[in-house]
Amino acid sequence: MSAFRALFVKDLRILMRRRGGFLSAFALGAIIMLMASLSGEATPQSLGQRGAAAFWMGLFLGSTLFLSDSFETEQRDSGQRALILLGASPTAFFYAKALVNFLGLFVVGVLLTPISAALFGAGPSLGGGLAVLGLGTLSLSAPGTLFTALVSESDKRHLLLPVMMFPLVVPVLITVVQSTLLLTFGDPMGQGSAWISLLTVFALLHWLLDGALYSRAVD
Amino acid sequence: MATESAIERQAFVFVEDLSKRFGSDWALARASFTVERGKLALLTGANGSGKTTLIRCLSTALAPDYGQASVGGNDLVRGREEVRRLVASLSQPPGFYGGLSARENLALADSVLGLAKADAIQAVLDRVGLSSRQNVPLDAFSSGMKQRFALARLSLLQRDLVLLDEPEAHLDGAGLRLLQELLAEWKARGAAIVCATHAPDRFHGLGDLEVRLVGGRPKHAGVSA
Repeated sequence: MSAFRALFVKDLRILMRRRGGFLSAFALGAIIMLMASLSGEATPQSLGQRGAAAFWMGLFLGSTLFLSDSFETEQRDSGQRALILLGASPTAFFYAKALVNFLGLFVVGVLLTPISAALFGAGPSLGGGLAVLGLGTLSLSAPGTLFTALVSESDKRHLLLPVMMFPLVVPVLITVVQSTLLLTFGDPMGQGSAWISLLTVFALLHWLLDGALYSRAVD
Repeated sequence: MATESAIERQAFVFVEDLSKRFGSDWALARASFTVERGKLALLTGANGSGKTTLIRCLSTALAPDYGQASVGGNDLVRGREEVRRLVASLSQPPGFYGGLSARENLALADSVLGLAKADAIQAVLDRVGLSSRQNVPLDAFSSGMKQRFALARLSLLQRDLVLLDEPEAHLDGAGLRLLQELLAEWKARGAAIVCATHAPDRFHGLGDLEVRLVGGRPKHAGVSA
């Protein structure tokens, strides 16, 4: 627990000092939403439906910049590698980094929410929106942390990360978009809880499986 | 065979026919030597002779393709986790967080590795001459200061096997004297040291054994002159 806490504080401290990845993720997410808002019909229904997909696509693509930057600090001077060679647990590194990545992506999502509301009009309620955002970013941060480690040795890592990660998180993206749409336009058939349960299962699976695979990726 | 077992028991570091291949190129071929506790082995040889590969194999960063080696009786491959708890290394890349200060990096290593030596951090920073810059991020350090930081971490860790890959690089005259003093102290407390260097003369009086590598193969292993 002490190792996890120290690594969590380390990752949080570095995130606060290096804000480049955080700002890039926010900017890319906002640009993708702006482009989506300018394409297609401008009716409230059409805008609202596009808004949910654009928000999550923007957050996913923005997250690849954020996650790459997060692992850059491990890669540049081999800080993580050195501590693992001294006997540190790779699993503690994974959970500390994934948790900080989750917090970072959650904040990016919160900051993108008013932009989404301004561009697309309709949006989910605050409570429901935050719950879906939390589960969605949990489901993106764990595989994102694993895949940044997997591609970190490649010169093309910035290109490889979204290409490799996208197929794995397609079910997560479909689920969060459906959940957001139900929260935005109402849920007369009562499907919302099923989508939220599915999202919770995805989050749990990723945090368990990706944590178990991380040591193979970095060691 | 009985004699070999006796040597393996006596030596803290035991290396026999250790070899490592990258593609079809043998970077290290059949290296054999032993190092006892309190002794310093100098690895010498030209660029590309296999010194760094040997250091990386001993640190468990690379798995050997042939041969065997043990540290404190633990096989490098089968007992990798045990070996890691006995070894500390200074190599390139340096292995720290440039966005954190020297003090923060040492405190991180202390917590993550469960050293319980937080009280000793100030003393090691004083010892390597970094106390006045201890709160500056390492990204702002010169190469020589980063090398001093690496020496501070080795001093904090106090491991039984110290692996050094050109530790004299970037150090000024005072830094070199500091390195020589630390090597003498580590030897005195019983640590085994393996040091790859292009300048064995800088370790005059400290080296107990010289292993000269040529094209990945040891050409000479004997008492250091």
